[in-house]
Amino acid sequence: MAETETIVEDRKITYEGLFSVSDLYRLIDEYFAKIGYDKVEVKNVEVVKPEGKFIEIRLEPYKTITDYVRYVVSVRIICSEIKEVEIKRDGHKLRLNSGKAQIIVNGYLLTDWEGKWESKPVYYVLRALMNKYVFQPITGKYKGEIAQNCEQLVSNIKAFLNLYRY
Amino acid sequence: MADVYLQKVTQKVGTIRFHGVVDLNGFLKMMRDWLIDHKYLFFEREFKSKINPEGVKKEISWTAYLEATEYAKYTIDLTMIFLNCIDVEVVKNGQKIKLTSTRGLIEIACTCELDPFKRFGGNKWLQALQDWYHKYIIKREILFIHLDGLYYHTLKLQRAIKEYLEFEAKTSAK
Repeated sequence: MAETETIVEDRKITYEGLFSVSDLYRLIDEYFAKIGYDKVEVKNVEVVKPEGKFIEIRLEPYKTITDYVRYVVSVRIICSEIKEVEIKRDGHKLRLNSGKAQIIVNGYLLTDWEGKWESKPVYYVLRALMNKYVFQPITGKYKGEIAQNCEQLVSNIKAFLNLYRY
Repeated sequence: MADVYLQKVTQKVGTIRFHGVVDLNGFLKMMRDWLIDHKYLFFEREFKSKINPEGVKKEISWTAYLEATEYAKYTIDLTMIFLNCIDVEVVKNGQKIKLTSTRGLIEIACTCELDPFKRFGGNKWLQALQDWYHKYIIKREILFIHLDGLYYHTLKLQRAIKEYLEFEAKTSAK
């Protein structure tokens, strides 16, 4: 069992209006592929309701830095009352979705993700001491990177959603 | 016998849940055809069908095997549960077609098993040798070619499922 430290907790974006669910999903997927994360789609739920579609997607992409450290970013996309609409922009017809979206981003730092330093109590104690007194400057750098990855994702999503405001 | 490093690794690819109207027979046929087209040996492990007042409940488990190399065997496991299956008639593109209104759950998992023919099987010394071989000689091949390759290959099946069900989030980076 890896040791998990929460670096970014519940960074939320809430939006209501016109946007494209498929493009939003592709944006997030492409962002993680670009920065070298492996794709993990934990859950993908789509329910057709009278008021519109309800979509819930949970992504947990991870990036293995060393055999001791791994970055995990959890992204939850919850869309409700999603309906298909057709709008005209610059003389072209665009098929978009209208509804509410909430995106929640969490960032975690996993250490000892292979569980090598948990098999014996002595190893466990050694790991705790090393993490606390020796690896602190290094894990500080890793924490900064995760926070930066999450913030960049949030900025990209905000910029994407802003495009549909006008 | 001690566990050999990365002897058999199972990775859960994802869970898909939906509630809507779908051509259930066509859906199952699409998945089966995908597996056969990618040279998997396809088996239906379990099929349960139960009639309830709310509709038919179907539980289907599939397994597909592929001997990728002499040393690696890939398995894709699909577990599907369809609740409240009711046949409905829908007009699509001016034609009346029979579809099924259902609530579905699909779980996809893939397993990579090394040395399926137990060439290293037998005594402790051979197992220790295999463990050393996996840890120090072919570790990168196991992780990057077999495990990652199988995982991303199974993601393509997941994408095919989402495209058939006309999910909004069916697009992906690759």
